[in-house]
Amino acid sequence: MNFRFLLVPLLLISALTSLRANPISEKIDRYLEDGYQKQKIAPNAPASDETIVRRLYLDIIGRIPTQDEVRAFMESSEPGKRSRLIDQLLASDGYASHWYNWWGDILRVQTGGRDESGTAYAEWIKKALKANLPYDQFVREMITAKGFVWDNGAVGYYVRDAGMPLDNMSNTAQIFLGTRLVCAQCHNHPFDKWTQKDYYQMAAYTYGVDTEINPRSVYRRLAEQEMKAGRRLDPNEQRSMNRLIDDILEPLKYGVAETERAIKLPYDYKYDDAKPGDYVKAKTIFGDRASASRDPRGHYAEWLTSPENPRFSMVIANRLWKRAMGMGLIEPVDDFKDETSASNPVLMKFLADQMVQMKFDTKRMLRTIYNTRTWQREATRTEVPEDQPYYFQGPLLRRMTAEQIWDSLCALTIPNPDQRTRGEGYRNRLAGMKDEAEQLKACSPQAIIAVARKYAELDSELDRKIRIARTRLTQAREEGENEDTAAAQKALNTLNQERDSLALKARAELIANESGKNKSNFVSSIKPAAAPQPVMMDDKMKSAGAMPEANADQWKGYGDEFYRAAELSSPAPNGHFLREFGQSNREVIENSSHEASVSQALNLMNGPLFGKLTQENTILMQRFRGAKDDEGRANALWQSIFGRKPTDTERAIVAATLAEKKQDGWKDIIWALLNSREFVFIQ
Amino acid sequence: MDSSFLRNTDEHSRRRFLSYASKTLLGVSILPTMAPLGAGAASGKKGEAVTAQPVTPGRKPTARNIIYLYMAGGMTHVDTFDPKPDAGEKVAGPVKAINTAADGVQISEYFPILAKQMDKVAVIRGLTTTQGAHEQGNYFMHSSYTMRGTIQHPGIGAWLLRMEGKTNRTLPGSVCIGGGAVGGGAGFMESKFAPLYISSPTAGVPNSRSNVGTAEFEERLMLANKFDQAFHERYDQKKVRAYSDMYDDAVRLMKSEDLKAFDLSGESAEIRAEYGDNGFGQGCLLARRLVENDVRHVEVTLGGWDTHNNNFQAVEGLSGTLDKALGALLKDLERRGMIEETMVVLCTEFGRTPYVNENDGRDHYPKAFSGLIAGGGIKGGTVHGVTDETASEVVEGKVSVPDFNATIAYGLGLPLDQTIYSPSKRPFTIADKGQPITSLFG
Repeated sequence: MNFRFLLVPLLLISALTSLRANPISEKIDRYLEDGYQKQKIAPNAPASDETIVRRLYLDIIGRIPTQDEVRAFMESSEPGKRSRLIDQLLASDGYASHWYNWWGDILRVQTGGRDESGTAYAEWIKKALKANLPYDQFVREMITAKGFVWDNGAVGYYVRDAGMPLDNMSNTAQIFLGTRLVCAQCHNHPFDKWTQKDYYQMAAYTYGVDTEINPRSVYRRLAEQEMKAGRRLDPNEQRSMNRLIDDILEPLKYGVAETERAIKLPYDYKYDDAKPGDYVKAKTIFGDRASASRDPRGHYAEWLTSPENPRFSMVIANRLWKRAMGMGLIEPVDDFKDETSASNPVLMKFLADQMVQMKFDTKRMLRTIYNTRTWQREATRTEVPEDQPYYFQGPLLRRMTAEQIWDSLCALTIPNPDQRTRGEGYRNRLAGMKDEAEQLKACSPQAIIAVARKYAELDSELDRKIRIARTRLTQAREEGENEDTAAAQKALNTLNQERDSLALKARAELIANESGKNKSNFVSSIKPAAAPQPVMMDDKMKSAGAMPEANADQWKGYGDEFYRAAELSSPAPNGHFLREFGQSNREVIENSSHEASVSQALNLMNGPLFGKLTQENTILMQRFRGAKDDEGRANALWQSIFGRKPTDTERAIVAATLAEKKQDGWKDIIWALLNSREFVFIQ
Repeated sequence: MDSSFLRNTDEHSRRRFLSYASKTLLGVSILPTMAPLGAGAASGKKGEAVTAQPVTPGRKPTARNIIYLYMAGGMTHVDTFDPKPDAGEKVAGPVKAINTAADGVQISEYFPILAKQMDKVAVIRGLTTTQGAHEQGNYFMHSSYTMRGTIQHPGIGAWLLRMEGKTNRTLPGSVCIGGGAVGGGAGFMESKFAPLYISSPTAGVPNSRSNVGTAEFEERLMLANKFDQAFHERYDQKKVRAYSDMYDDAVRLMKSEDLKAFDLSGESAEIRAEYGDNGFGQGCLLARRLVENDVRHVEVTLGGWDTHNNNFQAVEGLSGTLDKALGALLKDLERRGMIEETMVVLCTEFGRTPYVNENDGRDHYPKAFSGLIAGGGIKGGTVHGVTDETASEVVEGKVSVPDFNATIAYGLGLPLDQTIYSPSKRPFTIADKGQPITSLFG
C-alpha cells in the first residue's frame, strides 16, 4: 500500500481543524513525514478529541481532567479548540506543579533539612516554572547561585551536593550537557574520550563553592583581638566563648559562598601528563570558550548555557521531546557521545536550533510540540523496542508517573486541586530565618563578643557543674544504689539541657539589646525576646502569603492528605502511595520508575483509597449523584476517570451488573474502573 | 554530532588515553563485552544489566538463607561484643564482661541469654569503616560501596535475587522489617529485586486482605477484566501485560497459603514471649517464619544505638531487647534444624568512641567496631580480629566493610567476581573488592 494516499487526507484534516497552524509545528511534522517515507511506514491515525483532552491535561498539568473539564472541551465547537486548550493549560497553576515533579526527579530535590534549603530550592523551581524563566537563565541562576537560602533558593543546587563538589560537577555535565564524566573521576573514561585530567579541570570551576556560609571566621578574629585588649580569660572560658560565638551565629550559615579553595589531582593520579597532588586550572572539556578568571563560575555558566554550545540546546530539546512523546530522538537522554546520532538527525538539529531561536522559552517549545499533527495522533499500539530507532508515527503509550496517578486521584476527590498549596508554613519559617539572620548581621562584632563573654562565664560554670555531676553519677553506679543513680542521671540531664539553651538565650539577648540601638525595619518590629527560642516573626509577616479564609474553606471535610504531589515532602516518605508507584527517592538523577509491582496492585485493590474516593463529598461522587439516570451515572464515572463516555460494550456490562446487583453494583463498577489498565496509562 | 565547540584542543592526549585505557584499565579480555554494551546503549533506563563473562563459579554454598540484623545508629562495640573490663572506668564505664558458652570468649554482661548461645557465633572484632556519618555508613554497610550522588548500589538481598532468583513463587524474595536503609534496596537493578518493606511485624503484608468478601472480590476482578479487554486488545505491549501479570501475582499472594508466614498469631504465646514483646523481637520471629517459607533474605532493624548521651542507660535497654531476640532466634533455628542453612548476621554502621564523653555518652567511631555471624556454616565460638587494650585500634585481623559482605556472599555461594553492569554501563560486583574471611568457615 502506498502510504502517501493515507497522508493526503490526514494533511487536509489537520489543515482544516487547526486554523492557527504553527509554522514550526508544521516543519516538525514534515521532517517526520520525510522519515515515514524513507522507512516506508504509515503514521498513526489522528487521535479523537476524547483522547486528546485527557492527554493534554495529563501532559501539561499532570492530572486527568474533571468531568466538567471534559464536557467543556467536548461541547465546544470552536475551531482551533485544541490549540486554545494548550495555551490555557500552559498558563494555568497546574503547569508548575506538574513540571516541578519532573525537575524534582532530575535535580534530586530533597526537602526537610534543618536549613530549609531543600524547600527553598523546590519553591524556587516552581516559581521559575510559573514565570517561565528561560531555560538557559534557569540553569545560569543555579550554576552561579550564592547567598542565603532565603534570598536565593537556587543555592539548593549546590547545597544538595554538600560535601560532594566532584559529584556536583558530574551531575551538571550529565543533566545539562548529556555528558557522562563520572567514570573519569577515578580514571580516564573507558567508553568515552574524557580523561581524568579533563574531569579535574572541569571541577576546578566550582571547587571553590562552599555550601555553608562561614561568618564565624571573621568574628573569631575580632574576638581574638578583643581578647588581647581586655582581661585574659582562662582557657575554659575561652573555649566556652568560642563555642558560644559559633552557636550564636549559626543562622548565618545557611547558604552558599565562594571561597578560594583550589583543586588538586588525587594522590593516586597515574597518568604522565601531571603529577599526583598537582594543582589544576579550570578548563572546559570542549569548546575552550571559557577561561578561568576572577569569576570562574560565571564563565563556566556562560560556556555551559551558550547558544553555541550544541549539547546544551540539544539536551533540553530532546528531553522536552521525550516528555511529550514518550521517547527521545536520542536515547538515553543524558549520555551523548561524539558518535551519538538521533533517530531523525535533521529533526533533532532543527529542534535544538529552535530552542536557541526561541531564546530557550520552554513553554513555547512545548506549545509547538503539542500543536504538531504527530503529537495529536493516536498512541502507537504495537510494542516499541527500546533498542531500535523509533520514527514517531505517534506518541508512545505511557504509564502515568506516580505523581500523575496521585494528582489524578486528588482531582477525583477535592475541588480545585491545583490551587491547594502548602507554601505558607514554609514561607513563614523562611521569613523567620531571614529575619533572625538580618538582625544578627546588624549586630556589631563588639556586641557579639560582649554577649559571648557574658555567657562564657555561665557556660564554663555549667561545664564545671556537669563534670561534677558526671563524677557523682559514676560513684552512684559503683555503689549500686539505683535511686541515687537515677537522681544523678536526672541532674546531669538537666544541666546538659541548660547548657544547650544557653546559646539560644545569648542570641535572643544580643538581638534584643541591639534592636534598641538599631533603627532597621526588621529590628524595630521585634519585641525583646523573653523566651529562649529563635525569634520568629511578627503578625504582619505571618499573614503575608496566607490564603484568604474563604478560599481555604472549600477543602474542609476532605482528607489532609489530598495535596498534589508537588506540595508534599520531596520525596514522599517510604511507603507513601507515591513511592509505591515509583516516585524517585531523589537520590540519583531521574530515578523514578514506571514498573509494575505487586504492592501497587495490592494498594489499588485493597488500600484505603477506594474508600476515600467513594465518600459522599468527593468530586467523583458529586458528579455521580448529580446524574439523572443510570446512563448519566455511567457517563459521570467514565468521563471523570477515563475522559470519555462508555462504549456500547461497556454500557451492556454496566446494565448486566445493575440488573444483578441493583444500585449496589455501582461500587463494584467504580472499583473495577480504578483497577483497570486504562486508568493508569496515557493513550 | 561533531562541531567545533565540542572539540578539545588536546587531540593527542585523547587518542593516547583511549589505547591506554583499553590495555590497562579494563584488561583486554573485557573488550569483547563492549559489543553487547553498545547494543544495549539505547536503553538508559533502570533495567537490564549486562553480565560480563567469564566468571569463576560461586563456591558451594554453606548457607541458603540470611537473616540480617541491623543495629541502626552505630552500636557501641565496647559495651557489647568487644568489652574491655581492664581498661578502667573511662573506657568500660560500669559494664562488666561475662564468660560464655564459647571457651575464652567474653561478651558484655548485658547479654546473659546470648552468652549461652555463643558456641554458634563468630564475633568479628576487627571491623573498620571509612564512613563516620549515619547515612553514609549505613549505605556503605549495606551495599559495600560508598554513597555517590550519581548511582545507587543494590543491597545484598537484591544481589541474591538478581543472581539466583526467587524460591517461593508467591512470596517476595526479600523482606525488610522495621527499617529500610539507603543502600539496602534494589539500587540500579530492576525494582522486582527490591525488598518488600514491612513497618510492623505484627501487621502482615500491607493491603493483602480484601475489604470485601471473597465472592464479591472475584466479581469485581471479573468486572475489571471485562472492562479491560478492549484496552488489552488495542495495546498488545509488554508494559501493559506487566500490569496484568502484577495483578495476577498480587491476587496469588492474597490467596497464598504461604501468606500465613506473615501472620505471627500462628506462633504460641510462649515462643512469642521468648523473642520479646517488642517490634524487634517479633521481627526476628517473623524472619524465622519467612525463611521457613523460602524467603531467602530478611533484614530486621533495631534502632536507637546513636548514644551520644546517657550511653549506658540506653545500651542496657537495647541490649536487653537484642539479647532476648537473638538468643531466642539462635535457639529456635537450632531446634528446627535450620541453623546450618541459615546465616544470622548482626551489624551496624560504625562503633562508638572508646572513651566516654562529657555527656556520659559515646560518639561515632568508624575506626574499630564489632559484628556477629552465626549459623550457615560459620565456625561458632570463635573470634576474628583483635583491638588494642582500649578498643580504639584493630591490631590484628582487620575486616573492611566490603570484606564483611564478601564473607556473607561467600557463605551464600554467590560469585564474588561476577560483574553486573548498571544501566549506565558501570561495572559492579557483589562486595566491591572485598575478600571473604574464609577461616570462619569450618
